[in-house]
Amino acid sequence: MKKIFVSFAALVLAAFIISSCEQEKYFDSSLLAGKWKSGTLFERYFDDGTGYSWDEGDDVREEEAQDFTWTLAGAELIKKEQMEIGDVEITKIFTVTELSSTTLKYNDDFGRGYTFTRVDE
Amino acid sequence: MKRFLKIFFISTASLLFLVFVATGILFWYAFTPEKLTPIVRKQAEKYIPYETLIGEVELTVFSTFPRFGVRVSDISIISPLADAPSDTLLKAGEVIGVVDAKAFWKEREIVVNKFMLTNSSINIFTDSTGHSNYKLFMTSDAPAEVTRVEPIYLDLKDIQFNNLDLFYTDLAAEMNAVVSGLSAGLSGTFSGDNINGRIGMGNSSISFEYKGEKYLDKALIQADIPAEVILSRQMVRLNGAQISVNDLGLSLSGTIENDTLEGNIITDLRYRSDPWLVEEVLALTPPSFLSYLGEIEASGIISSEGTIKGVAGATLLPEIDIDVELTGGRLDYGYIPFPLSELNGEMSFFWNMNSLDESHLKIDRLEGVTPQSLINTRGEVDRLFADMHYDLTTNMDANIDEIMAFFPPGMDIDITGKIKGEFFTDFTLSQAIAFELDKMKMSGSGDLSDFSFVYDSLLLSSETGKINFSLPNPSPSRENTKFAFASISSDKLTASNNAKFATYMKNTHLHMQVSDLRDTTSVPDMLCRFSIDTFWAGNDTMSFDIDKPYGYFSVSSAPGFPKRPAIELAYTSYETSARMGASSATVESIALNTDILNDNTEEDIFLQWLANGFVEMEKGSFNLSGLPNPVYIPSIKMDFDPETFNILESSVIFEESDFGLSGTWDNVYSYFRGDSLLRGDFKFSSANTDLARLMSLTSGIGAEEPLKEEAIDSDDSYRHFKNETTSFGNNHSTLSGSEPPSPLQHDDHSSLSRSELPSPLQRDDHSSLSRSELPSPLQHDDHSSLSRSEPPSPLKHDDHSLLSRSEPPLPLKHDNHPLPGDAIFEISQPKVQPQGNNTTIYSKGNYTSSVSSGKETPSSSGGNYTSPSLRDNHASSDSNRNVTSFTGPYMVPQGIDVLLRANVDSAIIGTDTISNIIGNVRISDGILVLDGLTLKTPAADMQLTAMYRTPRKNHLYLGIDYHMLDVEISRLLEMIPDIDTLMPMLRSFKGRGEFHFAVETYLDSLYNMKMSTLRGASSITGQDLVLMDGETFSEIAKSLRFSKKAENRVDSLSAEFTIFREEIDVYPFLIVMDRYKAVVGGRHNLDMSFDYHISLVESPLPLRLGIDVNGNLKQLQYRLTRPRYAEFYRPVSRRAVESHQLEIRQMIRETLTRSLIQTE
Repeated sequence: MKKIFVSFAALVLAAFIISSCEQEKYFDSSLLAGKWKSGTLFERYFDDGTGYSWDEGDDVREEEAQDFTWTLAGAELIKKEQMEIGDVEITKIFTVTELSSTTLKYNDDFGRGYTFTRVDE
Repeated sequence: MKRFLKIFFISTASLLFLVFVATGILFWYAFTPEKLTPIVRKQAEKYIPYETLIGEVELTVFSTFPRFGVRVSDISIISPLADAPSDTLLKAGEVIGVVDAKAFWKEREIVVNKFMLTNSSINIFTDSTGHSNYKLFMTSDAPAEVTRVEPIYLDLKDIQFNNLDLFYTDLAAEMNAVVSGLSAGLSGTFSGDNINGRIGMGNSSISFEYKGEKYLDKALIQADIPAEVILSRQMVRLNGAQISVNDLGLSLSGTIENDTLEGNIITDLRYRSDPWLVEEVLALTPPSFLSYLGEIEASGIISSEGTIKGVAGATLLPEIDIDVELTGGRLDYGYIPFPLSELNGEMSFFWNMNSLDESHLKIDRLEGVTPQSLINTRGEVDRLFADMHYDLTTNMDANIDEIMAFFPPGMDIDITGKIKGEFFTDFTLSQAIAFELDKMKMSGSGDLSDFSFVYDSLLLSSETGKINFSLPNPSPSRENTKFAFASISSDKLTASNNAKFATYMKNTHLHMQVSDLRDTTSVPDMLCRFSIDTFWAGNDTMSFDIDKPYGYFSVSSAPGFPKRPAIELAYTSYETSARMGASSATVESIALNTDILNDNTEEDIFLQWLANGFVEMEKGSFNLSGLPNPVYIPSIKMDFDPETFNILESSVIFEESDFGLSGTWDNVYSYFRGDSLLRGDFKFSSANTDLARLMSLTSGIGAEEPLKEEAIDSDDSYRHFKNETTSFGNNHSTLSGSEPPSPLQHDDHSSLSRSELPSPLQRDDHSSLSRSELPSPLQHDDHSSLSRSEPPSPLKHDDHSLLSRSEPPLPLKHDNHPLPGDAIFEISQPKVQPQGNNTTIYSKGNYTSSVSSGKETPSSSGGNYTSPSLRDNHASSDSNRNVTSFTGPYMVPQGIDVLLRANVDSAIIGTDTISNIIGNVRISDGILVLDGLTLKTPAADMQLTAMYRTPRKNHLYLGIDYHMLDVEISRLLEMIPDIDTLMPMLRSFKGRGEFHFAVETYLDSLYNMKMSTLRGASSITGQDLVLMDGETFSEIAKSLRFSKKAENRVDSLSAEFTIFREEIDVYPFLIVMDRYKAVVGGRHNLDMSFDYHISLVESPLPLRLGIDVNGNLKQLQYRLTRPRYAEFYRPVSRRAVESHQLEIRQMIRETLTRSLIQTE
């Protein structure tokens, strides 16, 4: 019985450990640099942690895009949208679920997800 | 002439000598012809150096009774000479002589009782080499014999020449004289050196030609000449000689002396003429003299007297000084383009042929009549036979047409009318012919009537007037205005330029000084002082009506640029009315001092005229075609130069706005050259400002992009703009999702989306509806033709504090009629405008402006602005107003950088009135910045920093940094309805709080937000807020089992949220109520869906509960769950995520309040 109990406890512990390891995903931030497209929405990331976004569906041109800064730590993507007025930053925190040379997926705490594909230039 | 006399006397002496010889023969040869004739022939051969033919010589008794005489017939003296018209020097048909032999015998006196030469001719000829056919008389001994008889006393009793023809030809002197049929009598004595005698001539004609010029042509000569001859001096003295040529008689006295040393004749003669007919005088005038005068025809009676004095020789002529009296004259003269008649005058003529410059005519009086004028002149004309110089004073009552006939052709000037006055002329004939006005002196003053002046296409006319002028200008104000002065006064003066414009001036006084207008090498200099009672100018498209313009202007060439005009103008006037197309203006008074330089190298008309100066205007009213209502400018004072307009003082009233503006426009010239931004720095003070209206007026200034561009479906975006100005989200359909509601579907108001449009009759019941929710146009049929029946005449503003303060101009003419340009913003149906995935509902505004009845009064629920007074009167004349709309979004002026240091007591923005606005408004090259404006509204004191940038029409940036302190939350929602969208729970709170809000977005041309660009952050705090009875409280109270006694009061509220695109993230905040403390956080989407979580962190319950609230307003879903924010406000147990969120909240609040703190 004790053996069974110890085995069960070890199993539960392993399950927790495995589960924790799955949540600590790591994505290579260098893959983020470039131009990404999701429908009419575009985002461009630069290696220096800056970027900008624009939505052609709203008749916004790339040269009129709005700036943000970004950091990618593990799977946490924090974007700070720069406002011109008031020197305010809007912080948006996302969890990246996929980042490759062609695909970027992230979502927020409220379950809203975004899927981008890289735009070749 | 002297030669002729010399020959004449020699000839006479020779004839007498023959008589003496014949008489001797008579005595010596028994007096028979046979004996006498040979003797005489022989003696003739002896004493006469030429061949002499003598027919017969005999003594006469009966024909000379009682004395004996000698008659010689057929005498001829032959003296052939080449080129001579005849070889006969003398031919006499008969010569009879009676000599007193006794006297000669006893007294050695020669007394010729009678000598008669009949039917004779004398031909005297000198060839071109100076050889004459009588020269042997001059060189033979005969003259010596004559000389020897000098002591002899000679008494010529009766000497007659009957039918004597005298021919004198001198080819060397080019002189030819013919006396035909001369009958003359001569008597006198010759004693020693003197001959006293009297010569009478009649029935003879004389022709005289000199150097090919015929001076006399068979002129009838009559003469009675008492004369004394002094032989030694070869002088003849005339004592009252009467001479007539062709019945032109004159008496002559004086002396003629032969100056043998110099070969001249010295004259000292006085004459007095009988009254002569001018035409007869002209007939005797040698053609060469007439050629001096030109083509001339004259008549009248002229009489004269004068002197001929001086030396006549080969190169000299005596001076002639004549006094002339003319009566009844008439003159057709080539230099005068019209005949002169009734000429009467007295004048003196001095003729010095040796020095023509000294010849002059002094006119004591000369008056005459032209076909249309009376002229009376006096003065002097010098240098008569050279370049005549006129120094005349003329009184005239003249037709100017005739004066203009003296002007050279091709001047393109036509002057007509009549002038009566006195004029002075001082110029030469050559100057007049060459029109050398700069050398001529002319002046005068006179009365004008029916005057007109036409130069090129310019017409100037005056019924009556006075003119003074002077060339040159006797007292020039400037070196360059010496040319002429003119002073013109006119009761009614009109000017026009073909059909281009016309002017009318009443009681005009002009004083002008000018340089030579003919100088085309530089801009003419002109000074002009003007004083006019009434001035009107205009054409079919524009006009000016000015009361009492007075001033001064000058035109000259700019230094170093002779072709560029420099203008100085000092001008004042009283009431001025102007009209230009559909625009008009009235100004009570204007004062202007300016220097203007022209730079004709510039193409832009503004850049061509560079002005410095000062302008002051009072009580101006401007109806501009682009504006629906007049602009009143009670006063303005401004210094200006090409680069700077320095507004010292100004006040403006436009519709509901009034403001005072002072400050400076800089870089004006550079701006128009495209070299620089136009910079302005002004103090803008206002009691009342309709901000949206003023912005609509300045929209798009300087923009290269045409305003009407892209898909702007509204033709009345002003209303739209007005609604959007303070509430960019008023177009609520953008917030409501994709289902465009019908305007008629508004039954269920409780569940209406914000875009669903209620009837205006019902919307009062729905406080939650925003002001911008639009009434159905179906409800407003009676307003569709709203008109401003009461025009905004300032006269209606007696109770208007602003107007009374500034005492604006009162355009009195608009009391009962709409002003041109009054606007109507007509009501039209809302339209559904697809906007990407969203649907936009917007309405055409129904703005009806009024300044006559005070402020517009928004209805309780906002929306339509229609003054009740206007509503009552809208049915009246709407035919007189222009429907003007402001189309397109407000485009911030480009190319300018203007700073307005605003101090506005009350501003109307949209439907709100804001007071005590203090701060800076900057418009800088397409960017509008409200920099730290402090505002006061009924709801709160506010601070606003905003930026509006218009890079292109469909991409408009709007950023707002908005702080409201101690704001009534319900008023906050009313003022900014979109806050309700962002934080719907605020609807449930009542009380005062603090609100900080920063948001930015880009808008399309219809002011719809581009949701992808929306960014924002806000911080709200409140204390002792009342949770209003309503759905939220009930739901919460029910779920949390509030005590029945629990007050619906929230002790404190402090929340921050951010906006990103369509997501509003509400950071967890603590709310304290009743016995509960709860932390609320979550997300709220602009599609009105929620995902909130409420954690009950303190409660009477033993459990910690949480509630998830999600769904949307129609379908709220609640679900109990574990409290997610249980440790949020417990620092000891707070986790990293919670700390991060708190940091973000703190950062948001600090950032938002930073500028506020800095300002404070």
